[in-house]
Amino acid sequence: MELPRIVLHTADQEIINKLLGSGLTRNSGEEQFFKAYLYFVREGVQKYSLNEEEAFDAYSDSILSAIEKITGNGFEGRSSLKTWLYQIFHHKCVDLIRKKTTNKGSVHKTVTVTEMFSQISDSAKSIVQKLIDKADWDLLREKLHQLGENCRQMLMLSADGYSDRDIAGQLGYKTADVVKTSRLRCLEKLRQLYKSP
Amino acid sequence: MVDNYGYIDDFFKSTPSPEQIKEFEHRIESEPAFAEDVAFYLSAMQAAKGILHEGKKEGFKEIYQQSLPAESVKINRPLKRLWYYVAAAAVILGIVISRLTFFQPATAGKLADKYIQENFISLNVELGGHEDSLQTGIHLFNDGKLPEALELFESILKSDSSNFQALRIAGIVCLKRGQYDKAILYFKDLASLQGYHYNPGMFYEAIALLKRDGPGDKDEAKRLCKQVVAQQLDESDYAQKLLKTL
Repeated sequence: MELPRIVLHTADQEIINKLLGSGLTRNSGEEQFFKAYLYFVREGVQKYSLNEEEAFDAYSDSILSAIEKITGNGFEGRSSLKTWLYQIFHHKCVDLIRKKTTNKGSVHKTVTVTEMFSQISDSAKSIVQKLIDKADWDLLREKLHQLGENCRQMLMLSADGYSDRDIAGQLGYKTADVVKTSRLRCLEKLRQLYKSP
Repeated sequence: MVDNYGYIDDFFKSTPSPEQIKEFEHRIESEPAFAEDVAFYLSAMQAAKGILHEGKKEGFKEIYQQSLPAESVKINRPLKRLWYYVAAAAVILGIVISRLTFFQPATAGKLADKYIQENFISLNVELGGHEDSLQTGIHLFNDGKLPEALELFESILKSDSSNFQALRIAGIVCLKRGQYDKAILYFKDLASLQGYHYNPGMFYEAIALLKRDGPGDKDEAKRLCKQVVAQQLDESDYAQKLLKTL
């Protein structure tokens, strides 16, 4: 049974509207969202016995993950923003505890294809996943830094869900088409840097 | 290649039809080069997102730090009158504790970073054979030309695979370039060399493992540090420090 949508608080609606905007509006929405439920950090310390830094990390990751879902229209409004965010935060805290108890490093994050494209068949997913598993993440990050400010900004904004039109506005390009062509060239340049010795 | 990226980009940035999905799957399964392009596209996007998120988290950290005193006062709002002095003391204590512990945690990873920063900025070595090449390589390293330095040291190792300095510096270069798998292999080989009055190979391997931070790496680094301390090998003092955080 599908749960009904609820009427969101004015403050929540304001945050969501800002997050769905671009540039400075979105930045201000991110800051407002982060500040709104900052006391979760304390809950992370008290309820989940995390230290302050871990609780802060769990909260920051929850906010980033929530922003990604909201901007990708993944927030359906079936609970308040606070309840929904708390669920994400709860899972992050539990993950952290699990990593601590199994002595696994928290920084090492495996990237799974399923997070990125769910509509593809398992056999195709598995082929791509195997190739992604071979990626040298540190080298890729190093090469991204070598790529030059404009290219890096374009790729980061695109990865953050901004459209080419938004990117054109933010970085001062004439049209979305120019951004797309430049962005794909940057990707190719990154590939060459990554492959070069 | 750019054409492929255009096609892949369109696929991920739009809502593909069932026919388009089928065609995309078919190309992944039948064209290895295309599958590699897809994997690279997704990896690059993920890496870019990682850098972006780190920047955002830094911004969040600043907001959090600025909010600390106000936040501490807010916690005690219901009992503000009764516990005024206790709250004030808690705020001060909170600030002191957070300064001492929160943003300066002595984790093994941070200690490893500190070691790298303090010890691998520039190098001096006592030269054995290959003096000219080693000297050139060290100059390249000290000038920050790491790929060129690595190429040179690897060429020395091709003709002399147990060259102590070439192994040591090739490992350090790989470590600084984030090529941890290779660094670990070089340091392992370095540690196996006998008869040198100074051989930090085992300790360096532990540092590289901490930097790689893959599954089981911390445990292995801990084991190596214990061995360095137990056998009083080179850098055992620092290994002792690391052990306290592992």
